[in-house]
Amino acid sequence: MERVDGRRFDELRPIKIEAGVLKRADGSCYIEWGRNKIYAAVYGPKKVLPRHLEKDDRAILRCRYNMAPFSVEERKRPGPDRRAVEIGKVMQGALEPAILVHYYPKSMIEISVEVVQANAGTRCAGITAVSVALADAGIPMRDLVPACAAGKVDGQIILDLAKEEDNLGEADMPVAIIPRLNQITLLQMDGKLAEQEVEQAVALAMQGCQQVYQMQIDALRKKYAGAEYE
Amino acid sequence: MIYANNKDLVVPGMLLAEGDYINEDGTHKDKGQIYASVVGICYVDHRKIRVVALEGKYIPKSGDTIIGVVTGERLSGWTVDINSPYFASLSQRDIHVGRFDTLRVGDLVSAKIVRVTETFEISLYAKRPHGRLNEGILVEIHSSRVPRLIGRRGSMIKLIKEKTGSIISVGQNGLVWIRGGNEGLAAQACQMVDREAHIPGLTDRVSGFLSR
Repeated sequence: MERVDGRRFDELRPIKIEAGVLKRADGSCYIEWGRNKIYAAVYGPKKVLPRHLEKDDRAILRCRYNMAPFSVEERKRPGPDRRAVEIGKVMQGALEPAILVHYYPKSMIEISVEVVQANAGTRCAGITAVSVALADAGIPMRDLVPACAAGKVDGQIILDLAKEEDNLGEADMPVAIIPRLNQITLLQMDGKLAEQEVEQAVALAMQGCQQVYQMQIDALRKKYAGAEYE
Repeated sequence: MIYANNKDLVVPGMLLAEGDYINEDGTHKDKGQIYASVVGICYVDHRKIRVVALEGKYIPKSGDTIIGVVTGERLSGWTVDINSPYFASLSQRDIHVGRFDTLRVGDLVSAKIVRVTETFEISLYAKRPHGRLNEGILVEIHSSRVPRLIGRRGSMIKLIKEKTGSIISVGQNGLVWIRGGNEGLAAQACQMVDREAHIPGLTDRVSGFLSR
């Protein structure tokens, strides 16, 4: 089957990850995933605001996902909407299991994801970028969290849907994993898949995640290449 | 079985060792396997494995000498901002100020952390040689770069002190207090160390910068 951009069914779009791009944030990352362009920034651990959210035994995670008005074809009304709040929430859920939150009780980690250009799969690219930014901020983690989507277009299960495929396809399923434990931290789906197809799609997405994982490691390696200490 | 070499650059989730090893800072253990939890340099010392983080906020440890800013007054002491996610408290009897003198909000203190509880309630001790820091300027650097600013057996800080003639006091929390001599030059040197901490040949470059 020929895909719109001539990829194989199990091929990712070209991905470029760069760590430590924002000076004012404690940790940051810029990702170009196909035609997606996303910045992720991490602040903290810091004092909890508002105070009533404070947890005595662990750090809390606050995620903000935002799309720039010019990130999509038709101007998007600025400000948080239902979709942005939801994505913030699922990103928090996807990342929290990987972070060693009990190391910093009574503190807060603030995450901000800014979508500058969107082309399907922003939540996956966002999660990928945030986990690199978290590592860049020096926050202790069990592992990095790569994310990647799989879906069904023209009756075939394919990896990493582009915008055109997402619009025309039958299903889209973003998956985020903790590679070392082989555990899934995010699994959503819209559209329809048969039971068998779901399994197939999850397996394919997890394969894609492993490729993304390598790119995350390379990005961090690249930033700190030649580092020495003491 | 060990998988990482000494002084390797590691990233979170990287398997470092398996079996009979002791995990220290910057690592975590899961089902008998030791993994890195931060980006940093891995050090292997016989059976001990640790990762020195290249980034990160200052997390208070008892025994550290820090520099803090007084942020509030309480009945018998002060709260002190120590450039970390947690406030510290300093009791009136743990600092020596003159009879007609007191600490005010905004003052700088050098102090030692005597106790950190499980929930990060932090007690300071600021009697001699610690205490209030008068005048001078304050420079903030990353706390993870403090060992670089001090250098091997204090070589770097000694160099800066000699070339600028300043009195410099470095807190483990990344706050640096500079007084006297060429304050501006000393501050610039500290910031240079902060910026270029991970690039080899740092001492030579700082020396060159200060001689110019």
